[in-house]
Parts: sequence; C-alpha cells; structure tokens
Amino acid sequence: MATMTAPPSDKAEIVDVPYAYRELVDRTSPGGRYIDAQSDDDSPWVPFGPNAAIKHLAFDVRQNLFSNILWMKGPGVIGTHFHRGTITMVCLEGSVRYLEYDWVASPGGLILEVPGESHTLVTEHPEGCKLFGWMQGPIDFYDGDANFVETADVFWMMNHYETYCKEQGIKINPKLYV
Amino acid sequence: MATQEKPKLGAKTAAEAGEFKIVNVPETYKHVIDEYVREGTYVGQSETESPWVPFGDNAAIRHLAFDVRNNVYANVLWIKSKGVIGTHKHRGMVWAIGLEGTFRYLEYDWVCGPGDFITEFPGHAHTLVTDEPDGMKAFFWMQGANEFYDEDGNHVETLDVWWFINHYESYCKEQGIPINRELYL
Repeated sequence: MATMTAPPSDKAEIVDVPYAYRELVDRTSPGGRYIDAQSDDDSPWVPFGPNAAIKHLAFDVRQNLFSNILWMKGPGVIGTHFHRGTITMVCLEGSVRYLEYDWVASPGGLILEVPGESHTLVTEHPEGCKLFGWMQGPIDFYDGDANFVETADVFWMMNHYETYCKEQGIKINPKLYV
Repeated sequence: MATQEKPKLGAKTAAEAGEFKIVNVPETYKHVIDEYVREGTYVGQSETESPWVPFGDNAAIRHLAFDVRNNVYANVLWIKSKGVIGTHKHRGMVWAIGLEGTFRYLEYDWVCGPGDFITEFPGHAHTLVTDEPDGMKAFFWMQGANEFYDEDGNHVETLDVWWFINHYESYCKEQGIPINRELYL
C-alpha cells in the first residue's frame, strides 16, 4: 500500500482531481472563501465595550458557529463567561491569560476550550492582544456579582456586525455567512 | 481510489459490493487506529442498560449517549399521555425520529408520527405537545444548550449535556442501578 511522507506533487499547477460528483458540489456546496483581516474591506472592527473590538469573520446558523478576531486594545478584562460549546483560539498578537488557568498565551499559541468551563479573560500586555477564535455554541456572560446578563450566540454576533454596518453605512458582506 | 466516472447502471457499486464476511480493510496506520480509536457503543432495550428516568409527572427520558466534547446528548423522550413539554429554545441542532404515537409543536403545522424525521435549528423556541391519550415516544439527538421557559416567558433552566448526565446518574444512584459506561462517548 502506498504511503505518503511528503506532499506527492510540487507542481505549481492545477491538477484535475478525479471526483465523480463535482457537479453536485458546485450545485449544493456553500463553497470555501477568503476573508481578509489586514484591511477593513471584508469586515470592520466593531466596538465591544470601550477597550475592545471584534472583527467578525464567519457565521454558520446551522451549527451556531461563529468566527472572529477579538482585539483588546490595552490591558483589560473580558468578564467571566460560561461556554456550552467548543472554542478554538489562536493568539495573534500580544498576550492573554485566564484567571482560572496557569498559562499565558503568546502569539501562535493555541487555546482550546470545552463545554462546561467558565473563565475570565485578562490581558496585561501594554498593547493588549488579538485573538482569532472559531467558536461553536452559546456563551453565557455574567456580571461581577455572578448575575447572568446575556447569552451570546451566532445571532448575537450577526446582530453585532449588522447593527454596526447599518449605523456606519457599511455594506453587509455576504461572504461572512457560511 | 476515486473514479472519474459515475458508476454506470449494471456496474458494481458501493451498494452491491461486499460479501457476508469481514473483509480486512487495508490500513496504512493500523497501529495508530488501534491505539486511539474510540469503540462504538451499543445500548439495548433493557432498563438495566438505561432506565426510564422521570421527567416531570407525565414524562420520562431514556438516556442513550453523552458526548462532553461536543455538548451532544441523545435519548428517547416518552410522554405517557396527552401532555406538554413547555416552551424551550435551542442553541444547537436537533435531529429526531418519531417511534410511537404522535407529537407536534404548537409553532409548526406538521405532526410527527412513527418513522417520521424532523430537524430543528439553533435560534428556534417551541412547545412540544402530544394529543394522543397514549402519548408518544421519539428518539432525539441534540447538540448544545436547551433553554426552558415558564408560561410567562421567564427563563427557568438551561439543559446541556451535563444536565442530562446528572439526570441519568442521580436517578441511577437513587435506584442502585450501575452506571452504564456505554452511554459516555
């Protein structure tokens, strides 16, 4: 049986992969896509409190899934919140930690969070942090006295994005909707 | 190997392939699979494998699977006579198949009977009722949080995989029933 130890082709050219159902994929798949994050062309920074902003990257209402970059502009806190789904995050800039854990995330590091955990996000970095997140399921936010305040899910995120776009006269980008 | 051509009528297809025997599938990384693969599970019909756990006065839940990595839970819901599971809002996806009797949601115009298949998506709130004197049974596969509200729209409790595990384990402890590890994916 053939085994693969490295990519089997280094030809910089499109190879026509044999697949019998290409037409069905074309007809029914939402298609992959690219969302630029260096500029605000694809998605603007939407304020999230006075010291933070969110750049929304993807919404999937079938799975209650949302992806974005969270930007903390200086030292600060995202208060305690409780997850009912799975979160994958990559630290892009600065550093960030949770009061509940003993690690500090630095650029390139992977943060994995699972259902049933609650935690409090803190950055002490003078420049704050940027965090890429791929998030499934609702996030319940609590105030400083442990009173439940609101549940953020894909619909909350879409409303956050669309409300700001309307306010600012920015065109809604259909590419964000998987 | 993938084929360029769609299978032609009369040719051997996946549906026709295979014999009534175990065929060794060629595996390049069998040792990795052997070391890490999760076994599938089997839960039979007996109550020693999973009991009916009361859910209010007129309903019971038979838990079949818990997946804590994905906040997934599967079970059979049994409403024993004409009755209601109050308004609840899903934050994840739901798949269900009717097994006995019928049920419907006050919000929709269909009635689900034995063999019928339904899906529900995040963001919908609805109210499950059965009009049958003998009630209903249906299999549900659910992902994510499920928020229950009282008749005035006040949030009462959010159910998730942990709620379902606790529901199962509390009852088993009370009744002296051993915990069935097959339920934990």
